[in-house]
Formats: sequence, structure tokens, C-alpha cells
Amino acid sequence: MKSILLSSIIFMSSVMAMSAADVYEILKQAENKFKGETSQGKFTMIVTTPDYTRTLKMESYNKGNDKALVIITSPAKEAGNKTLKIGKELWTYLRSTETTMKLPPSMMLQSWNGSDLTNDDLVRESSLYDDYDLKYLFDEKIGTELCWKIELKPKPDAPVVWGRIYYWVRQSDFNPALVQYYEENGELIRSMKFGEIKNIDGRMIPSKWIITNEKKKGHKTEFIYDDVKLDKAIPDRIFSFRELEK
Amino acid sequence: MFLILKIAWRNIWRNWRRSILTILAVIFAAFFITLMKGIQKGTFDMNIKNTLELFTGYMQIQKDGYQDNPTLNKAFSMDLEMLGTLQGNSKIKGFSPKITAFGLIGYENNSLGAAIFGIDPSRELLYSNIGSRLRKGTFLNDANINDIVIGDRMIKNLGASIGDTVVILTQAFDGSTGNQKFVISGIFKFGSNELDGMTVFMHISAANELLAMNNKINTISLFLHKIEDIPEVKKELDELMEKKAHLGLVLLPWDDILVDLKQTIDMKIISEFFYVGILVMIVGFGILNTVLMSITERFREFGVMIALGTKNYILVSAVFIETMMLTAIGLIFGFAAGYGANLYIVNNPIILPGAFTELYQELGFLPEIHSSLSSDIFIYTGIIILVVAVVVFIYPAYRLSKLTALKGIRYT
Repeated sequence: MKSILLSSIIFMSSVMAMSAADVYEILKQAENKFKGETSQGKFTMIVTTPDYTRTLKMESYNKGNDKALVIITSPAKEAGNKTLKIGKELWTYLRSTETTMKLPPSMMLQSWNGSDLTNDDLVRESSLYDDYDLKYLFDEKIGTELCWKIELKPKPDAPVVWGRIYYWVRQSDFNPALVQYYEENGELIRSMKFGEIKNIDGRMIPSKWIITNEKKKGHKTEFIYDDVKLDKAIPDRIFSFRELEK
Repeated sequence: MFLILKIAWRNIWRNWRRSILTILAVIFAAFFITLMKGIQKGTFDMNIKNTLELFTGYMQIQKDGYQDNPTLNKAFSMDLEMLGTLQGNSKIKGFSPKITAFGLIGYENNSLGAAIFGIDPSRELLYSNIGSRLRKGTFLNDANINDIVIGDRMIKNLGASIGDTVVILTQAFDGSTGNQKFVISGIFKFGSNELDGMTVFMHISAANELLAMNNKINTISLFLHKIEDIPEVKKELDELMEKKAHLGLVLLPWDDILVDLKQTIDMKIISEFFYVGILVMIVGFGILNTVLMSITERFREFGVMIALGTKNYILVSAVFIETMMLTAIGLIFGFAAGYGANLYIVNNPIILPGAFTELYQELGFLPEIHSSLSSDIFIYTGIIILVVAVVVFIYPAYRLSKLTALKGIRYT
């Protein structure tokens, strides 16, 4: 009896100790850790489906949440295809037909380059700590790492698609470990796992993300950072149509 | 037995006015029910045929689950065995393979989502009516496989015109990004905003290339000579489907594919069922009236017969046979009249005047009234009227079976 009382007091105090400001700070750190103010680099995307597995190599440039450019460098068939994001809009440049197309709203929920990300996901990369109400739940181990499990519920007027998100942040280095995305009706849609913490451009950050599509069996997408440079100035002209069609 | 028949026959002619009245009621019912069913069946069949022959086909071969979740990757290859079986079936008029995908069509600064149908023009134009929906330009052909035909709304939204080059972007079978240039060679109009604003028809070889299908297809549409042959063809192709079980193929009749159309027709059949019901009631009371009258009129005569030793059941059966004879005569004339009217409409379909055209088109129906001479109609009508005649006979038969000699004779 005594021990139950004691453990519940400890539990209570640990919850109390985690103020809303703390949770906000933890999530912000985790989110900004690998995104940086700007980032540029090379990565490999491996898409696995029951029908095929394909590997794409890409180069990317990001500036804040607003501007991004991704260039496919391999395989040869698709090399030179580019995706440009400015604000909430996406353009695709197709090398073989030398055309630039703006993606219409009807295409937003289609897969991006065959991956388990939709075009909408690229555009709507909202800042989780601004659009959601955060709540620390409890400590939980993901693999061997002790993590804080944080629950995110959308703010009433936030323009977001998810009904709920669970976010596990590693206590040792504030890196994200696992994120689960749920629909309004409580169904798990996809999970994103972060792994292989490496020293990239002077920071210890996860170099591999695995997105598992929980609705489509056997569908997953892996992103592997080959080379990343963070917080380096990127000229604005990179994110222009002229550059796109060069 | 023969005597009973004779009595019944004589009774009919003893009061011919009353008999003719009953016969007329039956003729009236038989005529209207056959006409109504004929028009219903004829018009629905024509509309169904029209819809199916436009594009869908009477039946389709698809990969299991494709109907509910039509993704490009639920594809299969058509082999020689399949080709041979389909060609060898005399009930199949023809068949056409299709590739279906979703993509993006772009012209200058505009881009729109597009439902892409890769079709084999040499087959499609032979069996379906798709060519009749071409409004401008030319349809696909084997010579220019990079031509496409798009809907009139789509070309307007793109701001393009015939002869312009557009780019189509899709996610191919292997997940890669397929993109290719095409020339708009024609414009079609189906009259449905969705189809006219979304659909792109391209040559199946071009679709094969664009989508990296490696000669795989998504569906085969089967066109039959007669819609009634669907169950038989399904049975005949069972063996083929079993052989192809490892491919996970299914053979779906049209009502599994065009669920909306099926539901609309079912709704209409239910509403027409009420009209038939009202008609049946009118006729039923007519027959009941005459039969009851003819019996009560003859109670005195029946009483005498019972007094002389005739059993009640003999009287009941005599009157029953009388009723059946009247019904049969009525049916023969009613059917003849109904057949004549249906035949006339079959040969001269009624085209509704302009005001109806739009209303019908909105419902997906042609503003035409057709009819049918199918034997089902006559069997259906015959059964309904016979059942009515038997049901209304129950009460008079009951009265007759309870009749006693004295009661009958004294009955005024």
C-alpha cells in the first residue's frame, strides 16, 4: 500500500515537473534539430511496395518552411526531374519533355515520386508546435532509448489534416525517435521512425527516416541522408523558375 | 369430369353479357400490364445497352479487388489462351483491353488532373459507341499513337485547341514518373461534366509506354450480342477464369461495375410495381364482382341441383372452371392486343419532345420510349392475372361449398 502511494506521488510529481513550456521546448528542439534554418544535401529515397522496390538519388535545398527544391539525380530515366515548392504551391519540372507544371489541388493527395509522402505532405510541412496543443503523456522506451511521449491534438482552427499525433523524443539528445499520425477517427495512418544518429555537418542527427504506410500493407519509404549541410546560406535564385528549367 | 366442363362452358354462354364483361376486365388488365411491362423492359434494355456499349461493355475481366480500388498496379497480361477463348465464344461480339490510370495533363501554364484510358482504337471503335461521341477532330488510330482525344470541358479548361501539344504526367507501373508529349486530335462530349472535364483517351500502345506497363492491362471489356446472354457467357468462361486463378482475375457483369445505373433501374422497377399493383386490384375486384354476381344469381338453381344430389364440390369446380375459362379467353385477347401494341412501339419507338430531352439526359436516360416482346412479359402477366383470379375465387367458392338445398332454393 505504501509503495503504491509512493510511486503515484513520484509519478504525479514527474508530470507536474513537465510544464507546457517544457513540452513546447522539447518538441521545437526535436523538430529543428535536423531541419535547420536552411539545409542542402544529397539523399537516397528507397520506396518499397509489394510490386516493386525502387531507389532514387536526390539533391535538395530547403529554406525555412517555405522554399524547397528537390532534383532527382538517379536513375537516368528520371534524372533532372525537379520539384519546386514555394509557399503552399508545388511545381514539377520534367526533363524529358522539358515542361514545368503546377500541381493542381486535385493532385495534392497523389503520391510524391511514388513514395509514401503525398504532394500535400510536402506543402503542408506545418510547424507542429504552433498548430497543435501539446501534452506530455509519460516516458517510454523506443528501442533502447528512453523517450518522452508527447501527444499532439490540433488546435481548433489549425489547418491540419491529422486528428492526433504521438511524438517520441529521445531524452538523451532531443532527437525525434518515432512519430505516429492518426486520422480523425482514431485510425493509425502512418508512422515515421528515425534512426542511425550520425554526425552530420557537426550535429548528431538521425540520418535515416523510415515512413511506413499503415493503411497499405507492405508500403514503406526510407530516406537516407548521404550528405547534408545545415544553416548555410542558399541564394534565393535557386528557388526560381529560371533555375528550374536550366 | 367432362360433364362439369360442359356445364361450365354452357354457363358461360347462358349469360353472355355478364361473361363478356368479365372477359373485358381481364382483357383490359392483360393488355395494360403487358404494355406497361413491355415499355418498361424495352426502355430499360435500350438504356442499359446504350450505356454499356458506350464504353463499359456488358462484362469485364479485371483483377480481383480492382473494382473497389482501381489502381494501376492491379494489372494482368492477356495471353493467347485468353484471346482464343474470348474469340471462340459465339455469344461474344467482341472485346477490348484497357489501361486506366490517373495523371496530370498540362498545356502552357495550365494543368489539370486527368483520368487516362488507354484503348485499342481498332477494337474499341468496332464494338463500342465511343466514336459517336466525337464532336470535333479525329478519333485515335493506329498510325498516330501519340494522339489523344479529350473532353470538351477539359480542352476549354486547358485553353488548348485541336492540334496543340500537351504533356501528360503520371506515376508509372514501376513507381517512376512517366511523362510524354501528346497531340490533341479530337474532342468528345459525353454530356457528363465529370467525364468531359477529366477523361483522356489515348492509344493503348502509348499508354503502355507512358505507364511502363510492359504489355499489362487493367481491364478487358466484353461486348455481347444480347444482354440476356450474360449468365451463360459467365458460365462458359468459368473454366478460363479458373485456369487464370493464379492471376487473381474475376469476371464482373455490368451491374457490378455500374452500380449507380443498376440502382436507378431497381428504383424505377419498384415504383412501377405499384402501378401494376393498382391495376391488378381493379381487375381483381372486377372479376370478383362478376363471379360473385353469377353465383348469387344462380343460388336457386344450385339449390335444386344439391337437392337432386349434386355434391357441393362439383358445383365449386364447375364455377371454378367457368372462371378459369373466362380468364383464359380474356388473357388470349389481352395478350394479342398487348402484343400488337408492343410490336407497334418496337417498330416505331416514341421519341419524346424536346422538353424531356434535358431531364432524361440528366438522369442518364435517352428521351425515347421503346418496348419489348420478350416472353417474360407474357409469362409475368399471365401468372399475375391467374393468381388474382384464383384469389378472388376463394370467397365465392366458400359460399358455394356451404350452400344447402333449402337455403339455395329459397334464396331470392
